[in-house]
Amino acid sequence: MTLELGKISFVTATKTKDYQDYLEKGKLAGTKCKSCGALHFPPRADCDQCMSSDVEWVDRESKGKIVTYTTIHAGPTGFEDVVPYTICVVELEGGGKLLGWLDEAKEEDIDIGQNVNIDLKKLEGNRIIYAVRL
Amino acid sequence: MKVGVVGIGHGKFGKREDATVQELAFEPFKEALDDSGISRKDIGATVIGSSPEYHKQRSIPGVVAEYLGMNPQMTYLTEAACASSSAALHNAVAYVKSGIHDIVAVVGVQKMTELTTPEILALMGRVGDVQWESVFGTTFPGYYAMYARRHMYDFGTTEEQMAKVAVKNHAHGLHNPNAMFQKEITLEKALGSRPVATPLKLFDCCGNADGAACLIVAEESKAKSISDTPIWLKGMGAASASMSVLRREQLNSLPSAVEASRQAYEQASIGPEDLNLAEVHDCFTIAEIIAYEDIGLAKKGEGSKLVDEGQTYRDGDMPVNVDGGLKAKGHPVGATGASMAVEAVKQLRGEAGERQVDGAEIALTHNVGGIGQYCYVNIYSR
Repeated sequence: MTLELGKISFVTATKTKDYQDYLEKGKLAGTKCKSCGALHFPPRADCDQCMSSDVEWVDRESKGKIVTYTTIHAGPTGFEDVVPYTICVVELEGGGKLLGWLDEAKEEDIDIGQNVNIDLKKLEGNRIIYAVRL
Repeated sequence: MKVGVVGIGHGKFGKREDATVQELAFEPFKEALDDSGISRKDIGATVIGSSPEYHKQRSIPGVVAEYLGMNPQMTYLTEAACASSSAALHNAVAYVKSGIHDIVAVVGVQKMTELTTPEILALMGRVGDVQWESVFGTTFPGYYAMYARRHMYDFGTTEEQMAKVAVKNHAHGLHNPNAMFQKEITLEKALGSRPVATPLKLFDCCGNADGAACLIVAEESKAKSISDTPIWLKGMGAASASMSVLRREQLNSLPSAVEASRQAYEQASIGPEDLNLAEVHDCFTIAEIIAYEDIGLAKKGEGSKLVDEGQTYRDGDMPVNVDGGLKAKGHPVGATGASMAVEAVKQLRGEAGERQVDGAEIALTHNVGGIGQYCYVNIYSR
């Protein structure tokens, strides 16, 4: 059973599906354009800098800094059972940003600019999430 | 060639359990026709601004044009989320400038309350990039909440300053009979309301509403013969930004709004200091503060000073959202851009009654789609 990122999925087909192999190994990965060298994270199959589709997978750091965050009290479909939950944007060392869950932190302990680690945490079923650790 | 607005109409915004989407569209269209004095056969096209996912009826231009009696003239939909009818206006003006049509009607319309709560909640979960963001439960308020949090961190903006925007816009909405909410609120009530996505609370958020607004635009010579007081579109800026907030450099400003306003000022050969009033996209209170900065009413990071000083009240130096804004009017997504345009025209004609800004000659509208994926900034003058 292949792992799916996040609590629920909307996208069923993508040219970046090999990302699942990295998630399985507990690793973050982006793509690098072999033509112009641009790094893409979240990964892209096609380079928007030079329009090449010749990209390769590259490991990304699992640490970074908090850019911003919020605790969502009114959740959408599929998240009713976890409200309130705290999401944040993290800027990774070496470039790229991700959106993940601060699933263990208290909101009052979170600071913008704070160093964090990204844990790839498996949930029930085939789900895996970016769990952000202070 | 100049393009002028020669007819305007604005329906009642709110929970409209009495009307279908096409019936909502009829109200301001009829009003705009009467206002202009032209007949329907003079209009070359209707461009409908709306966000289609809220309607049970698919492809609403079909049903709207039929109900308005506007067949067989061409009609179609423009979609740019909350800026859909500004996109429609942009299209209408392009038709007129190109000479394809002399006169075009723009109808912004949205019925948001026919969906059930579960349907709304499902839609709410797909406002962002569904591949990398929505899978973690992002919501529309959640995105603006993250902008608010970052703005607070970068510039010291406070929850109280955000609440003051809500207090101002509710005070303005008191004088707008088409507004969903016509009641004042106190700072204490705003600050004490329940959290939606921290730091945003219920009173930081605009309300979903049903409603419609309409504009009729015409080329210069026709505009002058139709209307004694045509209001001219002097600048029309339009820009976009990445869908994913993860691909944006900063989360304290909307780059599409900065670019669209730059274009509009350049075309109109004016600066922000020349404006007499502005209608800005206050879907959330923080969005109004960011708008002040993006369109140059305040320096970056200093938007909240305008709020503290009360400068954006109707009697202040730079009145903003004198019709109550999205906050008090309610936000029928597809109608909001047209609603802003109607207010700008009313003010410049001197027909805004109790909420008239004295001597208004130049007005700006700033209409944002989504979280700044789209932005339209227009400048109007007498």
